[in-house]
Amino acid sequence: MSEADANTILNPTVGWILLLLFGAAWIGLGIYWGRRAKSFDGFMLAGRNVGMALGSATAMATWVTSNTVMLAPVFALEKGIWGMLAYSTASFGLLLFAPLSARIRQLIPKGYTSGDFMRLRYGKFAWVLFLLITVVYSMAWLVSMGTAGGKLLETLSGIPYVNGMTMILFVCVVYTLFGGLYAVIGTDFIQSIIILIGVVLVGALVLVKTDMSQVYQSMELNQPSLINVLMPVALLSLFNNMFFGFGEVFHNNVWWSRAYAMRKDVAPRAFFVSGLLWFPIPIAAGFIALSASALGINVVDPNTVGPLVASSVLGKSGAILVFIVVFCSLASSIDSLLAATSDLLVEDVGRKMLGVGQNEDQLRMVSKLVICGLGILTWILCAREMNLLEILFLSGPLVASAIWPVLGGLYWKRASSTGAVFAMILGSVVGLVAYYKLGWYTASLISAAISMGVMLIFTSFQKQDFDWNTISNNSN
Amino acid sequence: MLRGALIFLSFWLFANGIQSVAELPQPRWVSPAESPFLADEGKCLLRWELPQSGDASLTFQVEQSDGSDFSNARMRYDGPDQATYISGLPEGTHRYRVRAVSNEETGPWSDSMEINVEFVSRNLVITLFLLGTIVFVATVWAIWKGHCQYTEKDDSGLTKGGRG
Repeated sequence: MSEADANTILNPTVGWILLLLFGAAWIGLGIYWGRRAKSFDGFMLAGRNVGMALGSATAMATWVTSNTVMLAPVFALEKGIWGMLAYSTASFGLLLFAPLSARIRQLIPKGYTSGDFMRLRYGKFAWVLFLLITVVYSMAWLVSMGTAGGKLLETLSGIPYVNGMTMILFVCVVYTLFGGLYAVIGTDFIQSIIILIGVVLVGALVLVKTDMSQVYQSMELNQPSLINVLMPVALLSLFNNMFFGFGEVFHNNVWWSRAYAMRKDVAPRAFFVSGLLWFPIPIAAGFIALSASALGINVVDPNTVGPLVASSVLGKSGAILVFIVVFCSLASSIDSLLAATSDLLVEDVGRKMLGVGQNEDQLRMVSKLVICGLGILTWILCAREMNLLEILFLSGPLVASAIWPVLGGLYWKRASSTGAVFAMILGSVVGLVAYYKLGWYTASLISAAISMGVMLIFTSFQKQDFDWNTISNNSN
Repeated sequence: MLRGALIFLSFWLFANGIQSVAELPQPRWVSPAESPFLADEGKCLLRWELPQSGDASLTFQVEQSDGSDFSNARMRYDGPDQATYISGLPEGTHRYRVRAVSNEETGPWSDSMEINVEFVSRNLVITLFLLGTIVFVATVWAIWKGHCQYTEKDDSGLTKGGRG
C-alpha cells in the first residue's frame, strides 16, 4: 500500500462534510458556552470556577495536539520502543504541574498570566526575557499545529493543504473570539472524550488486525535498532523530550491560565488526572507506526505515518475515525493557544507594558483583536509552509531553560532575579549550541541542566530574602 | 534479404535480453544527495527519479545489502512510489540499489547508494544519560519538597520561608 493509495481511502467530499459538520458544531457550542463570559475575568479565565471534569478534560485535550498524532508515531518509527516512551514522558510535565498549580493559586490567587508571576517575582528584565521565550515558543507551537493539521487532512482526505489549514484556523478563531476560555474549555471537554475513545479504539483495532510476532520479526530483520534498548539517540531523546515537556508546561500561559481558571482545590487533582490520561496516548499512536513495516506499508513521509497506517489497516471507517480524532486534537490545542497567547499579549505586553486598555470593555475588545491578529499571522506563516516543526524543536532549549527559574521562583525565597536571568540566558545559549553541535536530542536536556546549575549557584551564594506578600499584594 | 536480417536481429536481441533492459530507464538517486551518506540516527529517506518522465505503470524494486557486490541482497521495497523511508538501521555500512520494473521486464540497477550509520559516542550517551537522571531526580525532589513545605502548615503560604 502506498501513500498515494491512502489518499483515496477517504475522498475529499467526505473530508469536507466532516470538516464542516464538526466545524459548525464547535462554533455553535463555543458561542453557546461563550454567552456566560459576561466579564473580562469570565472571557479570560472562565470565571475562575472550572470544576474537576472540565478541568482535567481541558488539560488532557490541550496536550493532545496534532503534533502528538503526528510526532508520537514518528518517534516510534525512528527510535522504536524508547521513542514511544520518550514521547509519553511529556505527560510527566502535567503530573508535576499538579503541585505547582497548587502553589500558583496560593501565591497569586488573582493572577492572569505566567508573565504576571515572572514580573512580580523577578522584576522587569527577567519578565521581558521570559515573554520573548514564551512568545517564540507559542508561535512556533501554533504554526506547527496549523501546518501539521493541513498536511494531515490532505493525507487523509485529499483536501488541499491550504484549504484544510484555513478551515481549521477559521473555526478555532471564531469560537475562541466569541466564547473566550468558556468556549475553549467547553469544547475541550467533548474533544477530549472523542480523542480518548478514538485513539484507544484505533490502537486496539490495529492491535487486533496485526500479528505481533510478525511485527517483531519484521523489525528484527529490517529495523533492528528499534528494538535495541541501548540505541543511543533513543536513550537521549527520553530525557530530552521529558525536559522539553517540563519546560513547555511549567512556563507556558496555556497551563497557567488553566491553573487560574480552575477552582483552587480542583487544579492539582485535575492536572494529575490529565497527566495519567495522556500517558498512554503516544504509546497507542506510536505502536501503530511500528506495524508499518510488517504490514508492507511504504512510508514516504514519516510525519504522516500514524494516520497513514491506521487508515490503511482500518479502511474507510478507520480513516473517518482518524480524521475526527485529528480534527479534535487540532481544535483543542489551537483554541487553547489562541486564548492563552492573546491573554499574555493583552495583559503583559498591552496592559502592563504599554498601558493599553484600562477598563474591561477596552480590554475585551483588545483581546478579540489580538485573537484575530494571531489567527491571521498564524495563517500567513502556515501558508508559507515554513518548517516550523524544526523551529518548535529549536524552542526546546529555550523553554527548558525556564524550568528552574519557575521552580525556584515558586518555592525558594533566596531565588534571585539575577540567577533567573542568567539561568534562562545560559541555558538557552548552551542548549542551542548543543542542538547544532551534538544533535537535537541533547538540547533541552543540556539547557535544563545548565539552568539548574546556575539557579542553584546563585541561590546558594546570594542572600536575597524575598517577601511572598509582594506577589499577592500586587497581583491584580 | 532485408526481412531475413530483421528477423535475425530480433531473435538476437531477445536472446541476449537487451530488449527489456534498453526499454526501461535506469533510476538515479535524488536523496540522499551524495553517496556515501552519514546517518547518525540510523534513518534516511531514499528517493529516486527516472532520466525522463516514465510510464505511470512502472514499479520499482529497492534492494539492501551489507556487501558491495549485493550477493546477500534482500528486497526492501517493491511498489510504485519513487521514495521509501528507512529507519532503525544498526551501525555499519548499508548499500541500496533501485531498478524499474514493468510487467515481467526489469531495467538496469541504479548506482549503489551507501549509507554509513554511526551513532554518537557511547561515552557521551552515558554522560548525558546520567546528567538527565540527576536533573530529573532534582526536579522531582525540588517540587516535592516545596509542595510539602507550603501546603500543610499555612494555607496562605505567604509567611513561610523556602530554600535557605
